[in-house]
Amino acid sequence: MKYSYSDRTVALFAALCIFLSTIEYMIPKPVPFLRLGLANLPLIIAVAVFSPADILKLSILKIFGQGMINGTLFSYVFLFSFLGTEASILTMGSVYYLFNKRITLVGVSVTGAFASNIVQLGLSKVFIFGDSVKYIAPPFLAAGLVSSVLLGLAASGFLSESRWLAAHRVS
Amino acid sequence: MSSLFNLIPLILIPPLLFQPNPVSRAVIASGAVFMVYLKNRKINLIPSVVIFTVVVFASVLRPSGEVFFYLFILPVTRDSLNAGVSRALLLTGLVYISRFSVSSALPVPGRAGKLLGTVFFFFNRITSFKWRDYLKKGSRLSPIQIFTKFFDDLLFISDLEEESGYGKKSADPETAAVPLVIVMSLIIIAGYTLSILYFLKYL
Repeated sequence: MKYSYSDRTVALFAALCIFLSTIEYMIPKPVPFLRLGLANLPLIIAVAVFSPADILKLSILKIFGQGMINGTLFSYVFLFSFLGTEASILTMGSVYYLFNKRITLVGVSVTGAFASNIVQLGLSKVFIFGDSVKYIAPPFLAAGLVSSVLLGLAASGFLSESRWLAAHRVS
Repeated sequence: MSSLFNLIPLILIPPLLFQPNPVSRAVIASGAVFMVYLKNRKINLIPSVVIFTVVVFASVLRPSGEVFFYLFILPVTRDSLNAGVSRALLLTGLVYISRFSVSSALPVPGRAGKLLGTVFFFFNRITSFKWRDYLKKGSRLSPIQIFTKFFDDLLFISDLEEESGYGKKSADPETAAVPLVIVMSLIIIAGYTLSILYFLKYL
């Protein structure tokens, strides 16, 4: 399906990503790497709504916006966010278009989270943990799997119930 | 001018990044934390302490070098402890230098800057939303339905609006406080001096 939208819609999606990442920052967690990935929810929805160019634009706005709001633009955190998000978005977009849009958003979300987590584990090995990354990897991947299923369900719910999407459906 | 002043601590990145000595890194990282405190007059150290602990602990899990002490049954070795502390200080230092230098008021030119301005305009709007009222209204709804309703409303409001002023507002001080300038200068001098001493093998 195609939807009509503008650059302002892309900016709004990006703002929601940044807002959700701020919410996530406030949620207490036992280990900082066990993230819910809430900020990826608008990205998952975007895969089904936006054109590939606008999905890429959204991901870049999300990354830089997050870096500027959280002040992490010149740190490793930004590198992790940049490469993790881009790996995720490229994988989600590829899977969605490869399966000719017949894959559910849960599947899209899980593959995106997996790609992002693998890239981030690789970066962790190089920059932070070294070989100790093997101790972090299992809980990190497990948390990613659970949260990506939940986010995929939320994105599917939005896609089926949204009045805005129903009003902006072109074909 | 204020934005340029905020970017000055970025020159601390090379000495922090390119020499692994924990003492130099500790000086620069703690200096960066102090600068952020002087700038904002408030600081939440808990996330950084958690990250620091996790990075050091993960490094200690892989023993290397002589045993320093035992943490219950875990042998804490000197080399792995040094490496973990050094990495954790690097991560902490970079985060706080970046936090000092970057804010949503950082000027970005061109079309990209305009689009980022729109993003921050919407972000300010979302953060000023009356969330509690919103959650009360939707109390019979599932979390997914609350999210759908909220996001739908935002999208419809955005549709109705005219293109208007972008929510760029500077939270940065117009002039830098004197103690901050002094502290920043001292940390930069100390950071580079320690790096030079490290490369000359005095550390």
